[in-house]
Amino acid sequence: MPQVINITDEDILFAESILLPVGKFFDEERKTFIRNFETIDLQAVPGSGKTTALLAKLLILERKLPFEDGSGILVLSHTNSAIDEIIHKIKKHCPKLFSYPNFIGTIQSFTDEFLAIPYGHNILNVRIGWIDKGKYEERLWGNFQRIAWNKKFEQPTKWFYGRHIDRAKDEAKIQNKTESIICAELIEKDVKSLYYDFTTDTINSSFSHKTILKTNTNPKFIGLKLIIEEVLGSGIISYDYAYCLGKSYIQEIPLVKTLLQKRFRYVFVDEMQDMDEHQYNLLESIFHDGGKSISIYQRIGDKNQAIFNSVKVSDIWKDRELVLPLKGSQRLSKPIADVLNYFALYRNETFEIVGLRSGDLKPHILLYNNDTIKDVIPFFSDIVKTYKQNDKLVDLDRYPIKVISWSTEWNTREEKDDLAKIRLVDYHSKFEKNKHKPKQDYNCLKSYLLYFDNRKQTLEPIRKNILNAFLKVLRLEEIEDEKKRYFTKRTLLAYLKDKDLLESTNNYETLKLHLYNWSIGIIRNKIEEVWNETKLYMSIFIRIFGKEINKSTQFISESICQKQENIIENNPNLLQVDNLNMEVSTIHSTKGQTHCATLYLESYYYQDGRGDNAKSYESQRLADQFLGKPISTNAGQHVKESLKMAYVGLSRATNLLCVAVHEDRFNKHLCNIDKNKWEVKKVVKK
Amino acid sequence: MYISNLKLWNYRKFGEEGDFNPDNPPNLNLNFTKGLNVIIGENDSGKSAIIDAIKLVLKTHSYEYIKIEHNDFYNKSNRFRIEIQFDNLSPDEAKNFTEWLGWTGTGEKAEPYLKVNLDVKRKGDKIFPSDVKAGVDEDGYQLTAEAREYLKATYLKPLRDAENELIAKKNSRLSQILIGDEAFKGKEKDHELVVIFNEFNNNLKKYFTGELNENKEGKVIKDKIDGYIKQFYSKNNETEFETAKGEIKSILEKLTLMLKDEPNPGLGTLNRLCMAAELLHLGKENWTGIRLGLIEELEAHLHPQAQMQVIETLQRLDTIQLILTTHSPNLASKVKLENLIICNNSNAFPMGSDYTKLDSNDYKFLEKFLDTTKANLFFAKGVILVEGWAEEILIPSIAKSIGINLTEKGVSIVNVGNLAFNRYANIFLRKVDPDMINHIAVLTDSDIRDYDRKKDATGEFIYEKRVATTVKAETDRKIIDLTAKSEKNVKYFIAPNWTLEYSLFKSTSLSAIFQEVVKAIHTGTDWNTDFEKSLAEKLINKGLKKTEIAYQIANLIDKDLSDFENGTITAKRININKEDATDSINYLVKAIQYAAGY
Repeated sequence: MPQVINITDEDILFAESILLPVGKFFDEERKTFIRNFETIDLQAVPGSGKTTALLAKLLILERKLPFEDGSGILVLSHTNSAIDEIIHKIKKHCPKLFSYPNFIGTIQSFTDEFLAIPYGHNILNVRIGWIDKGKYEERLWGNFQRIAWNKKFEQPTKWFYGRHIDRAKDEAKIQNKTESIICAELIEKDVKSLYYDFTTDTINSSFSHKTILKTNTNPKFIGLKLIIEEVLGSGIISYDYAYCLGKSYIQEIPLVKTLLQKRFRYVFVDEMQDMDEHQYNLLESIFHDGGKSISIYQRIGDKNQAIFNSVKVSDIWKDRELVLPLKGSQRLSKPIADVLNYFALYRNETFEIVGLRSGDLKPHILLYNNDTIKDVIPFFSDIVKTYKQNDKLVDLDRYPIKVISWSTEWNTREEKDDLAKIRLVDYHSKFEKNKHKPKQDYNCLKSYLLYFDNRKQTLEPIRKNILNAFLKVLRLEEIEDEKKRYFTKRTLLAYLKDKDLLESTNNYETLKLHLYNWSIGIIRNKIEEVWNETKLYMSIFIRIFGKEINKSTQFISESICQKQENIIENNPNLLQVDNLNMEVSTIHSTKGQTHCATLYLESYYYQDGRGDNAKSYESQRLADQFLGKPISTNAGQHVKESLKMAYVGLSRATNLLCVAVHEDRFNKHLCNIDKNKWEVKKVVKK
Repeated sequence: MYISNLKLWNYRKFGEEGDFNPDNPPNLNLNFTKGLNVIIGENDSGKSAIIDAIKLVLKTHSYEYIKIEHNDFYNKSNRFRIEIQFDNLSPDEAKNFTEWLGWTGTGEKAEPYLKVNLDVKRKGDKIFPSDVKAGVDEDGYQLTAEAREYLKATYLKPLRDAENELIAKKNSRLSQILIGDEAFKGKEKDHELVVIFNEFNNNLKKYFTGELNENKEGKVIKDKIDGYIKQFYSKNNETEFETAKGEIKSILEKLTLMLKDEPNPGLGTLNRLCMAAELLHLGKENWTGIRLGLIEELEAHLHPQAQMQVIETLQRLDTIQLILTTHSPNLASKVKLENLIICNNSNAFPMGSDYTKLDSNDYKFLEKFLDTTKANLFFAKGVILVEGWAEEILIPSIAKSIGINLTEKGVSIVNVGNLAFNRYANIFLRKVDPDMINHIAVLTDSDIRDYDRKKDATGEFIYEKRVATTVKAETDRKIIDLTAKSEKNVKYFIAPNWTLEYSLFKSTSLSAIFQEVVKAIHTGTDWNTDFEKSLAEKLINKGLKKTEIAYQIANLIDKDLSDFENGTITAKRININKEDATDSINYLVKAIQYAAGY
């Protein structure tokens, strides 16, 4: 019989003292959730502080640890940054929670550690050393070349050509490329995404979202399975493959489910709405297990904000019997909450959003025309300035000002020049979607030195990047370890150490010293010197393995390969107007954020219907919601997508919310808007 | 690299009640200097806790068994934390810790540092195992065993069994120290000593097989033993004599370290031999880890003269960081003030110029004048700084008569012999938090004369009483000026009537006995006409035998008290009223009370 968790008032006071500002307390609906230890869902409105409530629960659980039966707590979220935030906020208070037998991490890391790697180890007899999309694709594509035209395997390239040529022909019409180039690109993408499902004995493509070969006697099947297994055998899988192996593991050995349930008595998943179908199903089959699970499984999130998973797949998240709500929003003021209410897609009879923040600014609609579209952002900044002077923007020092939009860029010149088609770049022409993000794999040595994860305050990310560059060179030079596998950081260092012992050399210590000097050198802004030294050392390094630099010459010496600019300097998405800093970004990237003021720019997303009834913009698809009516039950897919996007975008601001709408569309759809709820202003040319 | 800072939360006596919160300031936040650090303090002041905290995190080269105990936790607390920062890492040292290094400064001025922590929790009887971690944030990332090897300290325990460490035996400390040295490293099989030993072993064998020379005694012994062995086993077996195996480790284990021409060394000698050997370990070449020596109670077996020699040697080792503890005033007086760390009242105070209000001249001055007697002010719970012998002699007796035993209270009276009060007082005033809490009372005279010396028409000196209101005004002013120098835990107490002696004379409680004593000592002086004037004359002409007077008064006060306590007398003759602020010696009472912590 598991011990009963008894949460006292003192426990709650303790959590409040750590998480809330002095004098603030959790209200009843939050306390209800904190005290609840059943399998439930928590549906929370934007700005309701659901993660804070979860953190409170975890802080209190820390005090009850360890459990007598040796079981633990599992806390999952979707992104590394969400996990980092949990770590940042409570780790120092929870040494027990953050150690065995508990696990806190992303759904990916959980799948890797508890399912994919054990499956590889126990069932496939493979030690999985790399879980990385890029490496998997690189290796698979390389192996594919061996069978691409091999008659023994019925020349798979021909078959792939047949699968993609129609689509290539279509795309060639709107792109400046020939159909054969496009088709070759599609084949490469398709092949790179292939994986073999051990349970169903099929070859699948993540790129085309389907099973492509089922007959295991088909020579193509045999060839593709061979190359996939080779990649797998060298310990490399992709992120997606991890879920597939995970699924195989629990299907082939159902006992695993029981063991995981015993290991994790409490399972908390934050940002549940962002889980993709395969992730949702995996968690559901392990921790709900058709209602048989002994784990308490609590899913926390907001269905209405599900913009990350493939929105086309509707309603992944099925409610539990008991759904607790968090209706009160600390972020939103009453005028904004009242307007937002109608933009919620999922709303049962009791649904409401209670704006708890003080503030009386009505949301604004800014009307522009083809002439004034470029003045929308300057006009918005004028409004911000005016309210700032009137002391209406009380959160200006705490939260940023952002300009956001759903669709951002155009694929073709024609569309870009079409005045009727408006996306973020038409409001702000300098916008660039792909800001630099650190990743594991680059095309040239220098990028490894330039782009490291600078959130961590130690030299570790720089050292890691430099080592990764060395591993990349080893891969390019086709140097492998004794077991015919790519070196990992760990195996490389162990190899050098062993070799030093045997041959009385000093390569390990030398590399260690270089790694330090280069890491600190980069911090000291001596990028060029470090680059030159690494280039020089690289040939010495390769000679340790009895080879000379050959295939990696370009990688080592190329100086500008990644088109990434340093984001800090000249970030085209940062605007400064009269001492006000504003950032222009996608709605996706603002998920979870709080703004002081938001300017929501409506944008073109497909076209439904024709002529006068054509619908492409929020003001068209969501006209009813602007006018204060809930969504109709038979709304189309694009309407639902628009709705979720608008729901996220409109729920960021604490003080001021503005929505830019073209005056033609306003006059056609929104002219009866309630002026008591919305303030309508016309954009003036500057 | 060296330890620049140590932070403790709830470790041993450094703790506080209430829930552990790592956001709280540490209970000990102590900076170390690069070279020598001498922690002084009385027993149980936390000296060992500091050393043990470092040992617990870094571990030592001597393979001691160091584990976390329940009494490592402050009182009833369930969590303690130790944080150690290392600075000044050379590239060769830094390379061992790259993943964990943070940096201070930006751009070209970025300098690496390493912060290591150990955070331990317990619940009930169970102490949860925890890893030593390193990094910039509070949590850090686990240090690998390889990296930890480079952080190990050399530790010399107190009252160690020096003899046992230095004699030949398996895994002797001496062999461990030697084998780590470049002279032996990597030459396990072909070292010169191995060659010598093999030759010796050969000769040894030959001696027992009778092949060495004409002498066959050895062979006789071996044959006898072999006779039995052949019966016990079989005809094919025989014995062989050998000393050490022909490899360097077993040879080194055969070595004993001695002082030349000293066949029976005492503990003191062995101790120094041991220290010298350990220093070889700390100074070994090609070592890219930390060079840190932790020495507890250096004075354990060393007589004062030897302590000084050792400390002077240690002060010159600038590539090695040494942290040692002592409660010897001898040692304390010999160490440069900047190298001292005073440990008291659950806190530790480095005495370097960054921390105290002493200026560079003060340091020079104190280095000259801090002798063993003055050094005991570092150990005191309270201090009374006085300017002369008279106060030093008189104060303990006055204290006793008002019921305060200064020795019991741990109050030291330090005669600074001049007016350099500030310099001594500044030892106890801090530029940075925390402040010291021991009370420092500074006793001094207002020095406003009640009489003037003038020459009359004939050129003779005459002594004239000054106008009372003028004297009062000047005295008040002086007292205000001096009192204003009081700061934090340092407080000034001022003789309100010119000097100590003049105040004694004016005292309601001690005037009678003072006059009695003065008359008895200065027999050639006319005291009966005008005692006050005669006293003033002697004070101005510096003719008063102050020390002797103080000595006699002290004796009388002591005798009066003991007579009363023995029942020889039924009432005390000398009664000092502590509360009587009008008594001109009340400032002495207040100073005593302050220093004693009242």
